[in-house]
Amino acid sequence: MEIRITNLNKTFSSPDGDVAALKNVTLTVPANQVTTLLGPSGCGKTTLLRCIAGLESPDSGEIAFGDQVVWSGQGKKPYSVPTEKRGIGMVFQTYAIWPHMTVFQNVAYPLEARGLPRDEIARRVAEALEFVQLAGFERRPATALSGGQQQRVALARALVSQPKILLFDEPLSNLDAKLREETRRELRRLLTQLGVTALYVTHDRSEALALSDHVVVMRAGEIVEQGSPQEIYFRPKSRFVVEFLGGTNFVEGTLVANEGEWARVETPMGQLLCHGADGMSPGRRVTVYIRSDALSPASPESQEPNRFQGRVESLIFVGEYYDAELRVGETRLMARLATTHSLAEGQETPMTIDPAGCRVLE
Amino acid sequence: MQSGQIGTKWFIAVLLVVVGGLTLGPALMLVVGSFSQGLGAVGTFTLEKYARVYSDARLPQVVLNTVIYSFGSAFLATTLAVILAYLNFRTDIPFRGVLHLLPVVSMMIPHLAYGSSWALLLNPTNGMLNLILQEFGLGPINIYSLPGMIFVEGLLDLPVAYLVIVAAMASFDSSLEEASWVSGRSRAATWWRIILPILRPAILAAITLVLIRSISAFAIPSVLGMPGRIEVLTTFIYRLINVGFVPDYGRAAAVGVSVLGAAVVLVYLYRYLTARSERFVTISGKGYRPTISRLGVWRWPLGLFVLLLGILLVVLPVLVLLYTSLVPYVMAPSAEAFRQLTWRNWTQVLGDPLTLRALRNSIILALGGATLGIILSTLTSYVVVRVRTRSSAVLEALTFLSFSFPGLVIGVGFMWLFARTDLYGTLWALLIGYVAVYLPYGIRPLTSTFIQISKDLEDASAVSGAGFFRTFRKVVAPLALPGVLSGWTLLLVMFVRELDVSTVLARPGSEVLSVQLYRAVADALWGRVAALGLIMVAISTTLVLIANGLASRFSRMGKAG
Repeated sequence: MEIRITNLNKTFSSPDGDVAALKNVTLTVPANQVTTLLGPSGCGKTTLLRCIAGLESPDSGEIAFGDQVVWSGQGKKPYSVPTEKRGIGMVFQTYAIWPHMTVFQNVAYPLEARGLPRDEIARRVAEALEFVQLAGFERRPATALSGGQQQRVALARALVSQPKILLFDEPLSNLDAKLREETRRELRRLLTQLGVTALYVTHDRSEALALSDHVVVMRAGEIVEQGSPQEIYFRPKSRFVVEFLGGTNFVEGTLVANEGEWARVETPMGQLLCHGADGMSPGRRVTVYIRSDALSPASPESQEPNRFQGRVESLIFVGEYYDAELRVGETRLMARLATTHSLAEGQETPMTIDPAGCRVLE
Repeated sequence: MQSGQIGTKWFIAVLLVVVGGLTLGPALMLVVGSFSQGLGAVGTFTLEKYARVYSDARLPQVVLNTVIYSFGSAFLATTLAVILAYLNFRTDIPFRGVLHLLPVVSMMIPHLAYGSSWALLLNPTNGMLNLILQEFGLGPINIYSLPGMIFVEGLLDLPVAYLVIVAAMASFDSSLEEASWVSGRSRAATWWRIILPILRPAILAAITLVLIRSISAFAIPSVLGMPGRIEVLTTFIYRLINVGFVPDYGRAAAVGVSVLGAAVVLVYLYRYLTARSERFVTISGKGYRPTISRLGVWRWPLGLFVLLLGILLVVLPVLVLLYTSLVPYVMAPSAEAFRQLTWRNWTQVLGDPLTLRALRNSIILALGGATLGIILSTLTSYVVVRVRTRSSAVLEALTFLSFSFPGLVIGVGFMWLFARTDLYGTLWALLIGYVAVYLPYGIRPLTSTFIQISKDLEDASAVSGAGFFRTFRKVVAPLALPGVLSGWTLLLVMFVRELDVSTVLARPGSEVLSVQLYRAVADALWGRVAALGLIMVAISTTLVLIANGLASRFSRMGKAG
């Protein structure tokens, strides 16, 4: 079931004035896929999720699950289906495992609310706990669980009623780094298996890329870009998205030629062969983003494009690669170099930049 | 290092002796006295006092009244506390300021004066509200009844229950509630299945705390219970001591031991429950932010309810006292009444040498007692928080014991303790009694202060070469100052209106204001009661303002330094 959001607005009033949390957001969350809302804190992603859950009330716009409108600001009084009638599942940032109940009681709760018979409840709770690999934990009090186990109980509780829509509010942010990576992998497997519409809020870019079929990047209450993880990573359109995904190398220049997929940009470090300038006319001032893994030292005799003479300013060994700072003319570039190269700080070296890693931004 | 440890040991030993003497001393005297023949505390063993008092035909009714009274107050106070705490922390309720005011008021107003103002409003013959109700063909409501007493005691204990519930509500992760809505439960079902069960330990703790206070409450039963001949254990004990030619301390002690026993059980129950409640709420972890839910159409009705409660609890009683203090005799407000306004009650109260002496005594006791009490509290709570040995655990248990002390009952123990010394009948006797009974109220805010001061700060001082006492003076004490001042303020206002211990220990020459107030209540001199009550409110308010001024000055110094 897809989630359709149309022209949604939400303003919070605070002592320092009003803050627009959502500005005219229009978005379709594709059915039976994992979609992430990615953005820095305060970008409105959690507000959007809470509006979908019915925990927050928008000011205007419309939210629909498939054909059923669950919130609408049209008319004198907003129409709203209350949270408990929206038939969703949700995993909270703090897990929200009820401390006065056992694991079984926590997971059985949504089924009891729907008035299912006792044996049906027992069967489905067992299934859900099996699914999250917590079989045998039924009688444990919720207070006796580790963070990772609480997280899985929260997931079991969210999916036990087989909702068509599952919402996640930064569910991994309270786990430590190692557990977070494991859980991410497991969550991806479970969500693919379930095939429900999942909407997942996070500020962690690697989490968003690893988990989702569709990534929606937000900033200051607006959607900046959306697409598959590969599209967002390899073919970003805005500097904000690049910077949020960790990119640091930006070069200003003038577009001199646009030949189908490829474009030439005149920059202070020389002419760069890039892509991503579709529809732009020559003469335009542009910013070129260079991915740090696109740079590599070149053999003196090679004839590759984007060949420059550079100097190694600093070289830091971080294990899997070198973190290098290179200088071409006055331009400084951060590069990830394979450890197979034998370079030294202060060394002059010819180098190439893979045109596939150079992208013209709007 | 070695000498430092020995110093600490001695320090704890001295504290144990002092705190133990203050708490176990009077309790033991009470028990010993109840089993001894004769008027003094020590004599031949006898069960005669028990036999006589427990065969008293009135006792079963008194016990029943006490149970109804204290449970009634506890349920009323706790129910209101849960509703108000939820409205304050979780909703967009208007008139929020009223909610912040509520806990302060019953701290400041003498309970005798508060009870009196309700007697003036709702006594069955000419209560001001009853007169208004009669205009509409309703009433009269009789405040001199068990429900009336429960109503007033419940309102007075509401702040105590409120503070306990708020502590749990403030750390209640709101997504616990939201997760229930998402699971398909309505708001009402969520209250029953999630909110109340999670708050249950805190709710039980609040009930227990109010039970302890209302079992040992003397002011309201004496103002509102005695006229209607509704006796509870405290007024029963009071009559044994103060009515008749010879005060019967022996029988009072024999009953008092049971009251004390019940209170001690409740105190340790309370301690167990608060520990449980903390375990329940600490689960929420990081990333917690409270969300405010909209009350919608209920917003203004509930807001008006809160406002009404504020008026009922604060404005009305104070206005009634002010009005009563300014009319020559009790009469309903009318044009005629306002023509007769007079300062007579005020000039009489302030011209009475006995009252002036009581005023001086009360201020001396409040300042001296609060200062002594807070010094002892600071040292004790520091040891309890930081020094984790068996003797510090004993120290903590001892301070908790005095939490249960009904002032009137333990006062008898103190009286016997002082009877053979020069302290008997002096202000020192009252001072020691005050500090002993109210020690936990100083210790509690300080314990939480010390828990918040990182141990590293002290270790850094030790590493820099400072010993235990130097570290305490140079590092710990300055950081704990805000907590010390707030504890000091709390003790000040409690001592200004202290009634229970004073009733037993005050003698001619060591009268205090509340005892004078009690005499005026007993003689039904309502104008004087009102004037004196307001004077006591004014003294507390002045002292609190001074303490707050000091606190803000110190905190500025802290920022500059």
